[in-house]
Amino acid sequence: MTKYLVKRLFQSLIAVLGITIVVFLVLNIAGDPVTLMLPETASFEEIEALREKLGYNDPILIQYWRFLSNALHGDFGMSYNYNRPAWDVVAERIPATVTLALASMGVVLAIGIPAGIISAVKRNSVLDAVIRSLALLGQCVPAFWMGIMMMLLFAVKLKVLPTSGFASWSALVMPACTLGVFSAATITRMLRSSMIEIMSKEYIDVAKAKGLYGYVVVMKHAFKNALSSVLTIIGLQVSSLLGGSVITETVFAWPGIGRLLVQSINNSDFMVVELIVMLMAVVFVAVNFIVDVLYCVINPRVRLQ
Amino acid sequence: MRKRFTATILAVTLAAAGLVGCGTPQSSESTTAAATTAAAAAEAAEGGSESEAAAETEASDGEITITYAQTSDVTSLDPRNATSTISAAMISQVFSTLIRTDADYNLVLDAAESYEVIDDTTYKFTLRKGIKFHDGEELTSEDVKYTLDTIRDENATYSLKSDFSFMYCEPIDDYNLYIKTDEPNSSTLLRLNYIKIIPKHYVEEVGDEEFNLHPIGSGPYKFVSWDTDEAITLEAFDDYFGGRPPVDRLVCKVIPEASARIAALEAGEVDLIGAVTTGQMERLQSLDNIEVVSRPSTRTAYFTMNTFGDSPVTDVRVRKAINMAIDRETIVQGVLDGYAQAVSSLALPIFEGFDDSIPTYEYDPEGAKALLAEAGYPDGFDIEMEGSFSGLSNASDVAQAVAAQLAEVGINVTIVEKDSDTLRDEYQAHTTSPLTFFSFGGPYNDINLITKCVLGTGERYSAWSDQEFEDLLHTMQSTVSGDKQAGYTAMQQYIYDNAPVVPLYQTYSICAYNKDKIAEWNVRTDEMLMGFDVVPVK
Repeated sequence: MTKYLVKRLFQSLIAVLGITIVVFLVLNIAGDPVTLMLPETASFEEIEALREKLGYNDPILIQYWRFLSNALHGDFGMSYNYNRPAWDVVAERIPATVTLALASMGVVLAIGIPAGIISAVKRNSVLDAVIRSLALLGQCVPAFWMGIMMMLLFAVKLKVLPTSGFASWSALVMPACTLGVFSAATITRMLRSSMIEIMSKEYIDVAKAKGLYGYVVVMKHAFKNALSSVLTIIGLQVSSLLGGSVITETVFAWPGIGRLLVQSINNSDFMVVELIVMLMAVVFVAVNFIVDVLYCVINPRVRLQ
Repeated sequence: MRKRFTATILAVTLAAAGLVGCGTPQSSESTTAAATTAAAAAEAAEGGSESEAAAETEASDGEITITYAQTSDVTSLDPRNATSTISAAMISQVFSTLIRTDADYNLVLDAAESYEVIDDTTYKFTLRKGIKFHDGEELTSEDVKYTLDTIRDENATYSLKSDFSFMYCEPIDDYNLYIKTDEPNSSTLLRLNYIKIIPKHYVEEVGDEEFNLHPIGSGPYKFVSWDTDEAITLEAFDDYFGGRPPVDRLVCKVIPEASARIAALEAGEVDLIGAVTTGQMERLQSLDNIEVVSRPSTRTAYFTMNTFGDSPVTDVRVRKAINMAIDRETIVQGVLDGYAQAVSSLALPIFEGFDDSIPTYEYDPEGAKALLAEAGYPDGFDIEMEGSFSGLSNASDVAQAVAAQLAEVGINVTIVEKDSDTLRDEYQAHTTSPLTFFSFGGPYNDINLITKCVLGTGERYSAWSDQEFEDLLHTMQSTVSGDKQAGYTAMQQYIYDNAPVVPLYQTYSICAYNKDKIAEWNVRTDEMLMGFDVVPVK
């Protein structure tokens, strides 16, 4: 199994390297940030002179090598928009994004898992129908609409929560729910179908025949086995939440990475875009790796392979 | 088995830690930065409840806080890098300048007590005595010199460099100085509005990076804190040379979403918002405690016409016909709900040198058809129109309305949306569509700047090249004393005669405020949203 994990780790590193190449190439095709660094009124000569000075006229391989070696030394270049090191600009937003990701993951698990289990166990009941309808609704309602509606209700009408910002813990509630509802709905649906499949397996009948309590059968025998299929989805959700949510962060003025990414794309702030995309890629790869490890922990069959 | 598993995990963790450790030069610093931010966030979290408490006790201790919302964060607090209007607006509250523009776009003295024009390249300024920076040091000519010298520095790359390095400062004594320019430039005084005087002693001591994060100026407000992408807090400066401002604390929040800004205003979390779109006006106007205010800005929306290709717009008669075929007033009323001013000249009435005796193109579809027939297009022609329509509110609807109006005189328009970077590249390569939608404005826009950038040969937003125009531009720019108006008038007449551009409308800045907190406030012409000129409710 160690061999398996080392192999996975090696694959992960290759994936990260591949991502740096793709990100670098795509951004290079998109243009260069020189026009941004000069005011609206700069002439073409001034733009060309700066382009030459900063090395944007060098062959692409040389530019990529420079970028990669600097990155390995922790130098991710300057943000042209902020005139500060790109890493500093991004690092400032990490706490906000991580806080929101964890909070919304909490919402996801608190809603998704119980709802999925109940829905499967009480299959075809009224409760199941209600949960399934809500899950469908949760997946259909766009985040920006739900965010604004919640804002109008809880902040403007009832005045129990602040509309936006990062100033207090109460400000976390609406963005976390907005983000969490969609994923919770996905988890509910996934868990429900996987639980139903497992509940029809023979070993469940055996467990029941042994006279075990319904709770033990559901939680210990069915849920634990259903978990491995849901784990992949949870892993994907965690990585995408950690990458920052553009819409939710924008609607709720949450100072996170997603909003920074969009701003930086709009402003052609290359170094920041490169850094964020790479950071996201590393998070994805790392979370996938952790999910693989967790598989081994919860599923002996994987361990034996 | 389990032991081996644990060992693997441990090894992986160590390896990961090693990888992180590899980024030595940056990592220790950046970890601190992240930690500081986390601490700041925690502090802010606590501060949130404190400030709510403070708001409740406001009546008792009488401290007045005004909170306003911007659409995005400042990019820099170092005035030498503050090219964006939002950054410039924030900085204008912390720093002072020799001369600045007021809400009506008139030049007024700021740190300077008086000035005189010595010759075409020299201005003499006298500073007010006893101006204090926020750390108590006095502002002198040396600070002005230091500010301009660093912007001009060959090796530095401050954003202000390309537009402002034409001037430099020669101090006479502590309070008297010359501002000189390399060439005569009639925009010098207006540009000085952007030269915020920075404290030489402080910047030299702490360095640029620290200065950007903790700026010290001599303006009405002291910098308190900057929570990136979230809020900036300022505090009234007791020793401000213009007198302590009436609002004790200004908080500028970043709320990018238009609906969220309105919700925050309604919920009483912010007192003043900008960038209100016309679609939201009705709702805001229906609220009792909200006042909606609007005003024409320095921004003009227009079409450039690409005269480099072989399209019909190379013929001046066609260009005139297009100008005559567009009913600007209908567009303003129908598409922009009246929140814009129809214009048919690049020179706006608020600009120095605007001449209202110059004729403009009035809506005349029959005249347009006649001109098209004369130019050899009796049945009209097909033409492409492009633009980055997402950049300006309602621009896409405007483009469609224009296309419909042009269709009525036989010009069939295909609309293509492009992003602004692509458009810039096309301008450089002279490959823009015959009609290209753009807007140009900002806090130091004037006739010199807009005509140069939109029509000057080789300029970034220009699709025209004409030697006679260049000569007129040069005369206009270099006439500092003497008959300035003659140059301005000649330029406006020349643009009218050659019709190289289709001006459409002057945009409006629309803002809204809470009448329970703010007694009086005016929208500024220069698109800058600031709280320092708020008159609070007592």
